[in-house]
Amino acid sequence: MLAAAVGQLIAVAVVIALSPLLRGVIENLKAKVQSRRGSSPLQPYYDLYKLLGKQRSRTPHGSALSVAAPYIVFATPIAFAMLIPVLSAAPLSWAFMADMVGSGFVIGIGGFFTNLAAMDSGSPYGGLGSSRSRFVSSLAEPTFIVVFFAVGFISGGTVPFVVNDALFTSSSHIVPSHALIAAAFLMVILAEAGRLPIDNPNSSQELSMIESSRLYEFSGPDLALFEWGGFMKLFVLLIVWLNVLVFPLGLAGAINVPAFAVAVASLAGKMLVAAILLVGIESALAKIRIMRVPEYLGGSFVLAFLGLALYTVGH
Amino acid sequence: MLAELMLSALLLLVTYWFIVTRRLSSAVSAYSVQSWLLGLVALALYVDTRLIGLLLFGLLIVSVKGILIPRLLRNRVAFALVAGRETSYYVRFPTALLIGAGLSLVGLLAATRLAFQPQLLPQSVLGISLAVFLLGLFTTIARRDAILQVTGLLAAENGLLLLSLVVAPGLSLLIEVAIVLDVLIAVLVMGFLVARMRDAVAGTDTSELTRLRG
Repeated sequence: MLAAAVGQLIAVAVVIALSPLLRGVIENLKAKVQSRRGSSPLQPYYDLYKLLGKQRSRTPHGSALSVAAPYIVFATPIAFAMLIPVLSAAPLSWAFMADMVGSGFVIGIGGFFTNLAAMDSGSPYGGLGSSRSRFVSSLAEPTFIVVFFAVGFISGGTVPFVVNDALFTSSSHIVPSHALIAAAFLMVILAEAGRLPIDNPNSSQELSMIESSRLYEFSGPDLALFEWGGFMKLFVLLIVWLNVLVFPLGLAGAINVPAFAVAVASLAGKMLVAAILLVGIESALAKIRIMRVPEYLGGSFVLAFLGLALYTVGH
Repeated sequence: MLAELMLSALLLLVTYWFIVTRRLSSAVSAYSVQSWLLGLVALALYVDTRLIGLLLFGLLIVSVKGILIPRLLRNRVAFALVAGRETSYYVRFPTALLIGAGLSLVGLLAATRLAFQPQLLPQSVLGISLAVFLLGLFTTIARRDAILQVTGLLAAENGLLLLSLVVAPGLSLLIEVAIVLDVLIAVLVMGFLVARMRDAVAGTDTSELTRLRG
C-alpha cells in the first residue's frame, strides 16, 4: 500500500519535472528542422524560473476566480496523472478513482477554469480566446466520446490500466480499428493541447491565437503556473496516447527501484519519439484557419467512428 | 491475414482523402496511393496463397493504376493542376465527411448481411470494398469539378476490384487484364472530354454546364 503510494508520487513527480523538457525538446528540434540553432531544450525551465521569481501583478477587475485558476490549472494534470499508467502497468492505489471518461472530465476542469479566468479579467482577448477554445473543445468532444466507446467496447472496461492490457492481448482482428482509434486520438490531443494544426503555441498574433490570448492578463508566478499546467497537459495526454493506445511496453511490472528506473528511461525514450513525430507533423502542416477546424476535428471523428464500425463488423 | 486487413483499412482511409481534399493534384495522388494499396493487398494475398494470378494482378494494378493512370491524368489535365485551384462540393465539407461516414457504415453493415462467406479475406474486407465503392460514387455525385468526378469514379472502381479480390481471388487473369485496360481507355476518353469541356466553358466546374445543346 505504502509502496503503491510512493510509486504514484514518483509518477506525479516525473510528470511535473519532465513536462517542460518535452516542450523544450520539441521547440529545439523544430528550430533544427527550420535550419535555426534554436533555444536550449532546457529553456522552458529557465522561463518558469524567471516567471516564478517575478512580482505578482493581477488585474484589479478580476474576482477570486483569477486568483484560484492558475492553481487549478496546475493541479488538474497532476490529478489526471494519478489515473493513468505513467510508469507502472499495474494499477496503483488511486487509479480506480475514475475511468477514461472521468479522467477526461478531470483534464477538462483546467480548460474550464482557464476560460472563466480569461473572461473574468474583462479583457477582450480573454473572451476571444475562451470562445475559440470552447469552439475547438466542443468539436473535439464527439471524437473523445467515440474513442472511449470504442476502447470500452473492445476491452470491456474504460479504466486506462485495464484498456492497455486488453488492447494488446486480444485477437489480431482489432488491429485496424486500434490503429484508426489511435490516429483519431492523436488528432484530438493536438487540438486539445493547442498544438499546430489548430493553434500555434509560439505565436501571440491577434488574429490566430487561441491559448495565448487566454493568458494575456496573467503574469509572473500565475503565468508560470498556467504555462507549466499547459506543458503537463500535453505531457499527460501524450502518455495516454503512448502508454494506453500505442506502445504499452516498458512499463514497470512491479513497484521497486530498478523497475521504475527502467520505466522512467523508457518513458523518456517514448517521449523523444513522440516529440520527433510532433515536430514532423508541425513542420509539415500549416495552421489551419479557424473556420476549417470543424473539418479537421470532423476528420478525427470519422476516423474514430470507422474504427468502432470496423471492429463491430469484424466481430 | 493481418497485413491484408491493415492494408484494406488504410485503403478505406485513403478513400476519405478524395472526400476531404480541396486540390485536384492531391486527388490524383490519392488515387495513386489507393491503387498502390490495392495492389499491395493482392500481393500480400499472393504471399499467403501462392496463387500466381494474384501476383500478376497485383503487379498489373500497381503498374497501370498506380503509375500509368495517375501520370496520364496529370498530363491530360495538367492545365487544371498547375492552377492549384481549390474546388468545392454541392454540400459543405463537414456534411460530406459525415455522409461519407454514414456511407461506409452502410457498406460495412451490408457486408455482414450478405449470405456469403469470403474464402481468403476476412468479412470486414468485404465491407471495406463496399464502403470504398459507395464513397467513390458519392464523390462522383457530390463534387462540382469534372476532374474530381473522374477520380471519384476511379476510386469506386478500385473498390470493385477489392471486392473481386474478396469474392473471387483466383479470377481469370484475362478478365482482370480486360478490366484494367478498360479503365485505361476510360481515363483517356474522360481526359479528352474534360479537355473539351475546358475549351467550351473555360473551366472544369460542372455546375456551369447548364445549357443543353444538340
